[in-house]
Parts: sequence; structure tokens; C-alpha cells
Amino acid sequence: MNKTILAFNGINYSYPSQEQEALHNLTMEIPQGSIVAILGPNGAGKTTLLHLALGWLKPRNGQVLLADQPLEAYTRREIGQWIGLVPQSEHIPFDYSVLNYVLFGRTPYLKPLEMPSDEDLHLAHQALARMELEHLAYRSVPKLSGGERQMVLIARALVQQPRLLLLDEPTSHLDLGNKGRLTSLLRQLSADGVTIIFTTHEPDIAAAVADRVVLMRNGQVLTAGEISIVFNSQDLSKCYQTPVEVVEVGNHRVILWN
Amino acid sequence: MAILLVVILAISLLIGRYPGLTLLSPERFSSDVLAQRLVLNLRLPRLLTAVLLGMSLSAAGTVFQMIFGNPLVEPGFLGVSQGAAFGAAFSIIFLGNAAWMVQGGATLFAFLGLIFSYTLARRVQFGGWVLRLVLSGIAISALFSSGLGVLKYLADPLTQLPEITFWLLGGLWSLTWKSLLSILPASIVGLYVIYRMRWRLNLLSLTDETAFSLGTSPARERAILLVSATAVTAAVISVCGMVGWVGLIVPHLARRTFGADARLALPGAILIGGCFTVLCDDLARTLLAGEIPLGIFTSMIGAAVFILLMSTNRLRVQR
Repeated sequence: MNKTILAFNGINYSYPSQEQEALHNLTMEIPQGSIVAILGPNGAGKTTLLHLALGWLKPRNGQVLLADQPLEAYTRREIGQWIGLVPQSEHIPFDYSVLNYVLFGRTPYLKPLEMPSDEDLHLAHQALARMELEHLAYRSVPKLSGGERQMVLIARALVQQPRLLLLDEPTSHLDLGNKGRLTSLLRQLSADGVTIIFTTHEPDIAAAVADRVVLMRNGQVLTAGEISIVFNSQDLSKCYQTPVEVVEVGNHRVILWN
Repeated sequence: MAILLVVILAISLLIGRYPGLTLLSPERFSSDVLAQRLVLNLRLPRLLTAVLLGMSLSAAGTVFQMIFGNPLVEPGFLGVSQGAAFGAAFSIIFLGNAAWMVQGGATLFAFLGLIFSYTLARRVQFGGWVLRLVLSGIAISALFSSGLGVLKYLADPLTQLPEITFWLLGGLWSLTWKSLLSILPASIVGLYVIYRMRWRLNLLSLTDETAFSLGTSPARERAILLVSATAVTAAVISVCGMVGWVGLIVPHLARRTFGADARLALPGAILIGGCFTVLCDDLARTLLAGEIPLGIFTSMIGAAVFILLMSTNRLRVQR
């Protein structure tokens, strides 16, 4: 088994204005290079888990370890170089061009007062080309469709060259073609050694691309492990509190519900 | 744009109501001692302050709009302007009418406005950071403007009230080299910090977690930029009075002209702001035999441009 890149040790977290814990006693290890899907109903604590992994939220108890070091041991820039975040959606108040917006991803490599170089610009073009978005380079981000925007967010994370990529419901606005492009991109990145953790409401996407699955409910991990073991009708039904059936069709797992 | 600013400056230096409403010719300038004194001791410091005023308000406006991700805020936001107005009126009534007292009072209360808004925002229990700051800013501004109302009520209607009113209208008639030099350090340092941090400004316009995930420290960097923007605003309004609309409208024009990226939009706003206030001040001092307060022109032109932008759909607000 690969070495652990990210470990949660007994994490508890609750949001300031809420009494109930958003995450309760979370302990798990993520092996390097794996693709981990986090599934669970709304409010299960999926996004909270990603924000804790990033260090944006600080756990009330417990520790998050990145490559065996506590997150607090890293500087802000180092974390930006290690971890890329693709948020679910983002409010963009000004008319930044797509190229400009993707270039923001180079910031962790710049000193506080430094401007991006031509090399950074080149990398931004490369990331756009990899996502097949070059035709949008000079379009304004707020004017793009939801799906195009989501692809641009992913391009921005790519240009960050992270070793750990966190994606929050990356397929929620994507059409079938883009979903296919995204899953093959995630596989390529994983083959290059990048560890990927993504949340999703689509068990099919998890089945198609993940090699590990975490099922969450009410701020707790119900079960976690390799997809071949965890991804079964019983656990998924328990997680969503609705009848779910996993059917094998050839090499694929298909999820039937309701 | 920089060349345009230099040309406007050169012409503005020579235009005026001496000897008549004309451009001063170079021959006259070299022979007439009074003209030389007028240009060097009155027009030049006034002109440089006008440039600094426009540059500072526009840079601060850009900072506030980007940090709050809201194109409708301006440098007076967060109780800064109302605080300064209250401070100036307080000094005029209670501390005597010395120029440095009025300046000091305005600067002090501008910062108090920021500090109060910031402290209040930290105590609010709901909403995101930006919403909390905005609400606190509105509350603190309202508090200061009611305080200003009380001061106006108490003021001597023959001596102090006109003084307060003129300060609130904004103008550059009383400017000397001394007052320019007194605000120069704070303005230059503040503008330099803002200029150097213009790439970070882009990042800080995004949501907090995104800015954080891209390796910035949103809270600390916002605080540095807010203090710089407040410092330059407080410095210029302490000597020029309330000059409205520049910090709201110029950043819009700059983004229209140079794009949203602050690497260009910020220096663009600084240059456009410099040109705008110098031109407005030229009108303020030459149009009539008496002086018209500068704030009246900037508000009039600013509001007209704003209406134009709104009615042609050039203004986009999401939040």
C-alpha cells in the first residue's frame, strides 16, 4: 500500500453558531495517488471535511496530518503548493478573463508582492489546453455557463500543480461529455501521483472513477475503504436511508435507486 | 494615460483667473513676478494636492470595491467618511478652527470609524465577513452622521456652521505647500503599499476559502490593504474636505478601460482619478469669479457618469 498523504486523527468540528457537531470523531487515512469519493446526503459533513483538509477550518479536537506533518507546520504558500481546491461554485464579482482567472492559480508560487511571470502565463495556457478550454481564454468568467465555469475552476486548480486535489461536487453542472472528460482527467492525474478527494451526490461517478469510497452521514463516517468492498447495496441504502441497489453490468457498477 | 495626466497638469498650471480668464503665456510668466508667485505658491501646491486627492480616492475606491467584492462601495465606506466629517466638525466647534486641528480631528475619527466598524463586525454572530463589515459600516456611518447633526445644531450659525458646511462640500482653496507636505508621507506610503499589492487584490476579491486555498492570508492581507486605503483617504479628505463620487466612479471607468485585472485596473484608476480631480478643480476655480466647492463638481459629474453607466447596462452587480 502507498504511503499516507493525508490523515485525520480524531477530528471534531462544529460551526460557531451551531450546537450540533458538523463532524464527529473523524479518523481516516488517505493513501497517496488514490482517488477517494466522499458520498453522503446533504448536510453529512462532506464539504466540512474538505475545508478541514485544506486547513481553512481548524478542528476543535484532533489533528490533520499532511505527509506526516501537522497542517499548522506548513506556511500558507506551502499549503497552496500542496493542495488545490475546486469549490462547488464561486461568486466572481468582476469581469476577469478566463486566462486571468486561471493564472490566479499560480499565486502560491509567487512571493507576496510578486507578479506572475511569462512562464506562469505559459502554464495557464497549458492548463486551458489540457481542459480543452483554449477557445474561452479571453471570455469573461461571470458570463460563462455553469458547466464552463466549473471546468475553468478545475483548470485553475491544475495550474496550481497540487499533490492533493480537493474537488467539491465537481460534476454538479457538467454535461455528459464534460463528465467523461473530467473522469479521464482525474485518472490521468492519479496516474501521475496526484491524490484526489472529491465529494459527489452521484454514486455513478464515484463508481466510475474512485478506487476508495467514504460514506458519511450526520457528521460521521459510516464506512470507508476500497470501492470493491464498501460500495454495496446495504451500505449505500443505510447511508442515504433509501433503498439503493448496486448491479454489476460487465465491468461496471450501476446504481439503481427508488 | 500618464502622458495625458502630464499634459492636463501643465495646462492646468497655466489656466486661471489671473490676469484675466486666460492661459498664462510663458512670456508673461517669465516677466511677471506676481504671476510666478501665483503659479508656484498657489497653483502648484493646489494642483499637486488635486492630483493626490484623485489618485488616493480612486486607489482606495478600487481597494474597497475589490476587497468587498462589491462594485458599489467607495472609500468612505466603513464609517471612514462620516467619521472624518464628524471629527472635522468637532474640531471646528470645540478645538478652535486651526487647520491642523481640523486635519487631525478628521484623520483621527476616520480611523476610529474603521476601528469601530471592524470591532462591531467581529461581534456580529451571523453572516459572512463581508456582510458583517458592510452592515457594521452602515451602522457606524449612521451613528457618526447623527453625531454630525448634533454638532451642526450646536454650532454658531454665523461662524462655525458655514465653516462646517464648506468643509463638507469639499474644496482646495485654502491649500498651501505646508498642507500638501503634511499629508504627503501618509498618501505616498499608502499608495505604494496598495500599488505593490495589486496582484493580491485580485485574489482577495474572490471568496475567502478560495483566496486561502491560493496561498494568501485573506484576513491579514485585507487588513493591510484596508488600513492603507483608509490612511490615504483620511489624509486627503482631512485637507480637502468631503469630495464625493471620485472613489466610486473612477474604479468603474478604469475597469471598463483596462479590464478587471487589478495589475492594470489599479494604476489605471490612479491615473484617471488624478486627471478627473484636476479637471474638476480647474472648473471649480475658473468658472465663476468666486470659488465653487470642488465636491459639487465631482458629485455632479460622477453621478451623471453613474447614471450613464447604469442606463447603458455597463454596470454589473451580482451581490
